[in-house]
Amino acid sequence: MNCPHCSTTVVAGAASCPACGFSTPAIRALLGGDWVRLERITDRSQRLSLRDTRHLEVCLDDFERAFPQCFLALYLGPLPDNLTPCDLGFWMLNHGAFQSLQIMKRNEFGIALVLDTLGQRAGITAGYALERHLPPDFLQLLLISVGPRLRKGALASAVESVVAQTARRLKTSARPAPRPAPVQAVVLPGSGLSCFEPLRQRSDSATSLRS
Amino acid sequence: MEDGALQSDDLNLFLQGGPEQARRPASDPVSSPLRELSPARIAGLRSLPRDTWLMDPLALLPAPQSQSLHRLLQYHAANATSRLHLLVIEQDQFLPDQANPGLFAGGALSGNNAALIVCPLGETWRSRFYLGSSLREGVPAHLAAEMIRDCVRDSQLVLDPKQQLQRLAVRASTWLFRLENFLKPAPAQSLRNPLREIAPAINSSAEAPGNLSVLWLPAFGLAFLLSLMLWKHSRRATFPDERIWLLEEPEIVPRLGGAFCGGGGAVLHHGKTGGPRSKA
Repeated sequence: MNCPHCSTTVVAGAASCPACGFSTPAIRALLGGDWVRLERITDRSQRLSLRDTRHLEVCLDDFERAFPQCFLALYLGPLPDNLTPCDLGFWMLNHGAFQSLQIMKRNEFGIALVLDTLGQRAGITAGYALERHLPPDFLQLLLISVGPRLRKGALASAVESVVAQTARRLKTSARPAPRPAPVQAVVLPGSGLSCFEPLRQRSDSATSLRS
Repeated sequence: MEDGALQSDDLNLFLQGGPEQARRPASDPVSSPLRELSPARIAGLRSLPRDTWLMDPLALLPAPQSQSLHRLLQYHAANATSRLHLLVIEQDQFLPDQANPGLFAGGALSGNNAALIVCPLGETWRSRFYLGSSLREGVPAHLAAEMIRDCVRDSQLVLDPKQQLQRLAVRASTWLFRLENFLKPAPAQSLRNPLREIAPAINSSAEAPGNLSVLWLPAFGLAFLLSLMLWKHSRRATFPDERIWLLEEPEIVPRLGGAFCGGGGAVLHHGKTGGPRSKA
């Protein structure tokens, strides 16, 4: 695998990059070493409309449902020149507690997509468990395929394409699991409306809820 | 790696949350029995204007929170086919069954595409979701149940009751955008059509095969195949692939000190000058 900062090949077990010295302590000195709660979509550049954000949340939800072990986190914003998108992706996956569908997902199955809106760079970083399924050459081709959309400023469309292509790629090496059993909702009649309350069945006595 | 002028605090500003985030204690469970929302309050809800997306009869929310939620729901109404209303009540209250929520907000909730969430502030797990007929009949029951579970679960990721409410509303809005694919045209008079049309029926009044001329047979077969392909395409759009996929977990030797990620990835410079420059 390559160093996220200078792309020099780094062997397994290496504590730092032999070329530039990149390492976890080095990036912690820049960004901090504490765990940080992160949203799946962080848009510091305000480039996504609310509708785009909602749409991307739906895309990410679908992705996480199809691959319950995995999640994809997106960061959009300006980065300083001395920080590459993969540097930030490396830091996010090693220090981030992501607000995904299931907060207990392991970061080894995470994917960090970083779009540097100032330097016009895009970086995608995968956790250890996904490296074999998403090799660097595939990730490179993936970014190249969405390059035109990024240049046009169609960021939401580019992200959606990244998610879709990643899902297609993962399906080639994943095994399908049986569908979960359907859940029946409790439908209580309302007046012109119907109430879905599958979490708890209310009884006639209000006090029973507190028993 | 050279030291930049950037300090860690500067970059931490763009990341939400953090170890210094103040944590409020979880709301204590109420020991007294639940109270019904009073008839006077219910009458007040009925007299509200139709575009009252956020109903807070007890003024439980501070002004900034209230305005933020109102803007969110207003945006939803402007951009979505469905209408989402939110009723906030106290932690130990509930909406009685005879309250007839369809009459709230001047009858706006009696619309076919209306959705109402009644949320006790601080106890989002007791939220009740009301859906209009188009949503009720169009959305599969298991998706509606998943929507509710997901909204409540997401809200429970934070401790502050007002943030829980915000997350609940955002999540519900996102879900309703997603479920618009299932919305059916509003039935004119009757609501007795629980089945969702999922396939275009082949014309059953076609001539019996014995009466068809030879030239019609391939055309009929082609039409059948096209119909089948269109049906599969529409079904795929209406019923997204609900299978789940599991990945193997290979043993990886950590690199660069990363506990979960060794930096494996790719970068692309997509700026307009010089074309794409990539580094794997």
